[in-house]
Amino acid sequence: MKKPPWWRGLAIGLFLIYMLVPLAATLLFSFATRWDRTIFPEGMTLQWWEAAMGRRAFGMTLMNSLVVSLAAMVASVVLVTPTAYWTHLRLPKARPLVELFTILPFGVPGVVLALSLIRCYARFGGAIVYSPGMLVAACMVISLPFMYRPVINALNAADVRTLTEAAHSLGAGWLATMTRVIAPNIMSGIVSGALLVFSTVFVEFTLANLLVGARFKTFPIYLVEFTRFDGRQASALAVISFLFAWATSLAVLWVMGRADREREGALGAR
Amino acid sequence: MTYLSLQKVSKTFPGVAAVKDFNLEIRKGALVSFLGPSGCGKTTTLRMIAGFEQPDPDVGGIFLDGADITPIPPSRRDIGMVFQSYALFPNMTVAANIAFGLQMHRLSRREVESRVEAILDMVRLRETAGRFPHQLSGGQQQRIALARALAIRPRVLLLDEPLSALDAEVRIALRGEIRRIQSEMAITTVYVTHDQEEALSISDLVVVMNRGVIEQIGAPEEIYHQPRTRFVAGFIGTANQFNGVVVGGNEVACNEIRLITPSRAESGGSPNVVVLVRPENMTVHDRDPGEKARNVIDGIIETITFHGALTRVGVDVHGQRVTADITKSERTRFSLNQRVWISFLPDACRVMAREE
Repeated sequence: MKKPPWWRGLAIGLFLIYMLVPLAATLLFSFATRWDRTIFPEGMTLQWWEAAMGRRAFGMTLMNSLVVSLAAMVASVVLVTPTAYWTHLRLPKARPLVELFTILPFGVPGVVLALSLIRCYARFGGAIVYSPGMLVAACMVISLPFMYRPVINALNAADVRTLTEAAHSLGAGWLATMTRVIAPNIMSGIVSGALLVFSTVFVEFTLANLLVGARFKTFPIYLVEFTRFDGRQASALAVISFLFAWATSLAVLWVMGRADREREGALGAR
Repeated sequence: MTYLSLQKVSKTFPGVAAVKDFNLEIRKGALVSFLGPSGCGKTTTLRMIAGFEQPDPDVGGIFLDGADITPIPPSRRDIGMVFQSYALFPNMTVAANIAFGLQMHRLSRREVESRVEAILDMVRLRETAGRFPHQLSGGQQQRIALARALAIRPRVLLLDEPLSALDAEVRIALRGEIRRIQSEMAITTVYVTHDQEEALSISDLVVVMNRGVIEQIGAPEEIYHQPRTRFVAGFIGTANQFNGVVVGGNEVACNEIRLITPSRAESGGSPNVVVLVRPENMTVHDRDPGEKARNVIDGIIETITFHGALTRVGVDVHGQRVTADITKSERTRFSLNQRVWISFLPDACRVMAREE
């Protein structure tokens, strides 16, 4: 086998340093007693973690973020999965249009989206515009690509047309076909999409700050507030936020890996 | 008595007429094959019976036991279907796959269990009940797909090229199995295939289709021995075709050769005809048979191909390739580039009008 070039290890090493140093520094800073005069922290303490997590607002904002993320996740699954299925099966010509819609959020900055929503819905009053419900809806829009893509990939891989026809020929209506045949066979796509939506919405700051702000404080808002008066407590919160994102990413990788293994198992058996 | 009837059924996709004016009557309990090349409209017709495609509106319809089923959705037609790709639900075990249709028909749990067991016994795969589809061979998967479709006791069973993804040995075994089960259950069945041997071996009636229209409907023997069109003659088995002109009551001139044909020639009055002769009806001689044989032509052997029970020789007859079958014992008398004489009886000829 050809030996890999010498610069490959170097490039990977530099990349890892570039990625990991800020994370390690944030983690270290959250435990440091003082770290502004020396190369390494002068001492270690759990004081900042205790302070950050001891406040009532910590639990409340964490809960608010979880509620918004879960609501956006559930709504995305319920709305996007049947839409993708229907488009795939019955409106193949509309597929490019739907795909365009799903990538549009990448081109619209959060500030623009939030201000547009506020202007558009202002006539219905503040109770609606500045509500957690509006935040959930806005978060669904920005996370649309993350839900649609895995679902449509799973639909492409599962030969859903024939499965649907087989279910119909056995007497199943649309609901039974969707819930008992199609959804279980595209579950890996639904789960990865749902987890990606969850992690995207969980760390969303711009929309949360502009749409609900202090009325329904989410974890990212709480974190940003902390950076203004105590960087070490903010670091502790940032690490918690990272841990959530990592946990969901690992879950996505695990689900997708399992789906791949199942597929390989199925092919190997033939 | 007619059980399933297709009356003036047509299907047009944008820019393409897939099925044109299709008329067919099927009696209860019969196995009918739709046979034809790719794109001939056989699968589209089957899908219209299943309800997955709607025929062109305002003309004709599909009738089952006297009732028009055209407007009824597929899930309420009580028509079972077996797909080429099996279409077993990968997330369910074999037993759950079979039980699915029964549950959709709201049968009691006990009834579902007993029917699943009975149908698994019928396809002789009881031991696979707890396995998932990917743990089965292709042949086993197709038998389970058949069992699943039959479990709901459908009024009609449709099979869409069910054996084409399987290897030759399994295909032959499974088609016998399909015929056995179909006869046992006396279930009206429509079988789509492009494999003529498959269609001829298991059907009560064969419908040969080409370019969206029916070329011929008949029993397998009739389709083989009395093809009504050039297409059927060429598609079913192999047929040598000699273009010629009728020169007498039962004589056709094909270039320098004069062929004696049956007097009942169905040339439709046209003087321009084509004479069709199957290779198995030809006799190959290593010397001129003289006066004792009829319809003698001579040529040079160009190819000799082994087909198991028989050997097929390709002979160049004045520029035209003629194929004839010889037996194992005759094989030793012939070799490549040898001059041979081919003869055939007038009764072996089938004469039809030639479209210019």
